[in-house]
Amino acid sequence: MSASDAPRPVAAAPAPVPLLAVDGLVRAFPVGRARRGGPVLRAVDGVSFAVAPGETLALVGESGAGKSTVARLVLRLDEPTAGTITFAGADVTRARGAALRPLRRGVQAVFQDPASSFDPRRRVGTSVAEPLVAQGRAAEVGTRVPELLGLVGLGPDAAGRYPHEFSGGQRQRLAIARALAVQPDLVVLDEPVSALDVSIQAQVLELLADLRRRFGLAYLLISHDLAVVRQVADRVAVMERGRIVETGPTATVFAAPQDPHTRALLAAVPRLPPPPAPLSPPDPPSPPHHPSM
Amino acid sequence: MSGTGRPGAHPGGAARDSGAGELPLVGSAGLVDEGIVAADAVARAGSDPGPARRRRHPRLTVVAAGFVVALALAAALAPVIAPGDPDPVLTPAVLAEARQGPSWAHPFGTDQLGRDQLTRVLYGLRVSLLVGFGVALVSVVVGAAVGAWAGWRGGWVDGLLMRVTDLFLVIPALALLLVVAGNPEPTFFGWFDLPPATEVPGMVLILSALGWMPMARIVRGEFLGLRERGYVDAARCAGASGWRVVVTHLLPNTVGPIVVFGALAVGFAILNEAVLAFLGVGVQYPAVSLGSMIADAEDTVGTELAYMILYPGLVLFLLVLAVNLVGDGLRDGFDPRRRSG
Amino acid sequence: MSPATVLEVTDLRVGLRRGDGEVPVLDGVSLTVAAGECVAVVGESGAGKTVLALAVVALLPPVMRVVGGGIRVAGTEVVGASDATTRALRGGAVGMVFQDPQASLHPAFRVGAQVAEAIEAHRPEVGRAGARAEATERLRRVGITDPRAFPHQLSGGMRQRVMLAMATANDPPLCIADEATSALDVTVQAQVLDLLASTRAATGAGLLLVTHDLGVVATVADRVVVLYAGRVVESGPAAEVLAAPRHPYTQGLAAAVPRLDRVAPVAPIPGQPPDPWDRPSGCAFRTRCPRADARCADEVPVLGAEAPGLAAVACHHPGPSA
Repeated sequence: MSASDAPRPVAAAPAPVPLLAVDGLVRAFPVGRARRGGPVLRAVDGVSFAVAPGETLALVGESGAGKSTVARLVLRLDEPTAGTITFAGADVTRARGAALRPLRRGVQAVFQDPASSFDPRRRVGTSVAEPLVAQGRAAEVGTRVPELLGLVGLGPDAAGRYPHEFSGGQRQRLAIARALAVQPDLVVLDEPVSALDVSIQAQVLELLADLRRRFGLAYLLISHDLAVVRQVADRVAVMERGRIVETGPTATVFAAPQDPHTRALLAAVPRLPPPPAPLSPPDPPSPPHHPSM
Repeated sequence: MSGTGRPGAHPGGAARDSGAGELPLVGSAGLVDEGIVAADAVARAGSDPGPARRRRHPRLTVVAAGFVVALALAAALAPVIAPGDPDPVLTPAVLAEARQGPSWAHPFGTDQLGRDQLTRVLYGLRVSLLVGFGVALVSVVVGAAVGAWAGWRGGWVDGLLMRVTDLFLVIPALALLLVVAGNPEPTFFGWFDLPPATEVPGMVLILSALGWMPMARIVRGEFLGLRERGYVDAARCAGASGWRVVVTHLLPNTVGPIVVFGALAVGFAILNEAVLAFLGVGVQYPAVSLGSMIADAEDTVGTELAYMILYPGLVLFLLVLAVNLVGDGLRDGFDPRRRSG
Repeated sequence: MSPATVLEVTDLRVGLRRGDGEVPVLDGVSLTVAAGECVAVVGESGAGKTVLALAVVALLPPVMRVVGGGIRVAGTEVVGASDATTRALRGGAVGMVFQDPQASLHPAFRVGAQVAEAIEAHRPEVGRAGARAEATERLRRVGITDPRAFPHQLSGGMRQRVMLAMATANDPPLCIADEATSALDVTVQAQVLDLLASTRAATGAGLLLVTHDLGVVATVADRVVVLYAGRVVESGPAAEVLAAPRHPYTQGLAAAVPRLDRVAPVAPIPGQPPDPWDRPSGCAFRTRCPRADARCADEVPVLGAEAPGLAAVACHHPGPSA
């Protein structure tokens, strides 16, 4: 399970063809009862970026910055007011129906809320297999579903259970399994760990990193948590009020932010004392350290 | 702009919109209320107020359901089990039996023409039940289809369908029924013939035409909320078509309000049919209706012949009560605030 | 109990009714909050931290009840107290700020009126006009200039400020904040935390801060209590517990939190926090702990005493990592 089967234009130059390219993306919503030409709110106001194969690009910003809207546009769950979206060389900005199939195969998503990501009335195995069935690959379901469940650290018997029987962290794993079903090239992760406990967050992040290594996946990560972004992303784009105000390699941007908004965001993150080393066997018992009654 | 909007809208507000407030069909407004409350309960995953608000009287629901089933069986087997003939040739022998009180030979007595009341009640039940369930079924199917389409597509489709729904709601139901029911050969604006309302199929048609609208609103309201759920996004990302999403995800998650509406619609339809028959514009002779039996026995109240109005009235009352109890029970059963494992 | 202690929880046990049995959600929790002090209660889902906050103000849901121990707020015992007593407590001696301001503020009333209501409820002698004036002033102090605004007109951060004004309307000696900043953006969170600190400094109130976010703890807390599966596993001065934790769970948490300053491989704790009905015998953490042995399965570790410079730990094998 590796690179895309979709046809890709042959790259002549050393520069790799971006997997996903977004140019001048705009999404405007009418404000109040306005009609055409009335006042609008531009949730996304001229956003451009590209994601190369195998790369992780993070979109960060505060709530209302427009990052989730960008994610929805890229996934074509919504249609942009202006601008273009190109996936694997094909323009999918206004595509519908059959024309969207390459995008549906090549791009999948994991959403923020584990509670509502799964239809409560369907068994989890059916939901994980849904992309396969919807894309005409129902024959593969029998073999793929146990395989996918194993990839995310869940046993094959999980398939017969209902979403409410799983914890939040397990449901996010299931969401990842579902996202991998059709062997995508790019996975859009919209706040994938925000709703999880710290220790579970760490497990899911580790899983995502592992899968990325194994399958050469590209990630478009939407997050408000800068520390998570620091761990996971190659490049970061900072959004404010619908625009990208700064972009660059993660280490560079975080070490030397240029834009005032970026600086404000970084400054506001609470700082922890340096972490202890990972868990290790205990000290030999010595009187001052023994917990006593 | 009208419409119930998302579940969670104030229950009271919708009642005003649904119109059809005349007495026989006063239930429609109540149905929207019920539907909104049920949809509200289903949509809201609120905090549990504790064991005090558990499902009440499940046994009562089962008993009521059993009663309805028993009546349905009795009605279905009427030709077999009825002691007499609902429409006998009026021979002197038959006429001689007139105005007899309840006895072993005639458990519900006989009417002025000597016809056995029990038999007529059973045949009247057939009409009631056929109309009741028929109307509920058609209303649910048509209403859910319209509501689903409007709720899913949104935009101008939603606007258009809701205006059509409003149009139907605005029709004064009683007036229309009085006009239509009397017409033995109705046509659809002269284009094609319609079954007359004097028989069961026509009655089902006209009552459904006036009863599907609350279902459409309820389903549309549900869909507007469900559309935003994570699993719908996930299904679309998976490549599912709109149709697929509606049928596999949205409709199954709307089952609660739909079933509750359907159950309550049965009761209303039964009552409406009875009222129309009472007024003389329902199913006509030789068909028997509980309503017409009550009308025929109007003058017997307070006399020794009161049994002629008592039995049909009682059966009608108990039937509708039982159906409503089942509906209530179903609504409680679908309330997600029940504790689960 | 010294007069400067605003909250004293002693061996609190809370049970959850389930089926026909009862399972413990808090199992012998003790902590104190002194005047002017900020104590953070840290834990993950199922640890019981929200239950603790609710128990202090006698707002446990009907399925839960206090089965043992005591809670003293500014000298008044809460466990077993009458409804009148606890009602006077809430908003009077204890101010509460919860996570979702949208749910706590009435959408149909102006914010000034809501703060004024909090004042009038506990100090009726102030009178309506006096309450309104005071409400306006208090809102101004937290940065809300328009008391006539409705909640929906304000952003999340501003709504939390209103909640803060309501919670401190009667200068209570104890404030409880339950995940008060979890739903807020980072920059807004920083502002609200600042505000909490300055309010505390101004009034000398004690603050019980319930959170899962270690960063928040590092920023504002004087002391921290770490909860796991209904028990305290470590407690002590915040700086020390975070820099040199001795309980494997705290160490695991600190190691699992992603850091801003460097890329370190995030080291997750295997498994997940247990449900109250599924708690392992002995030490509840043993199923996820690399140091667990037979003793951990048999014996529940007891919380040691805090000594100067040393956090208290409930573990059979405590100790700094590496």
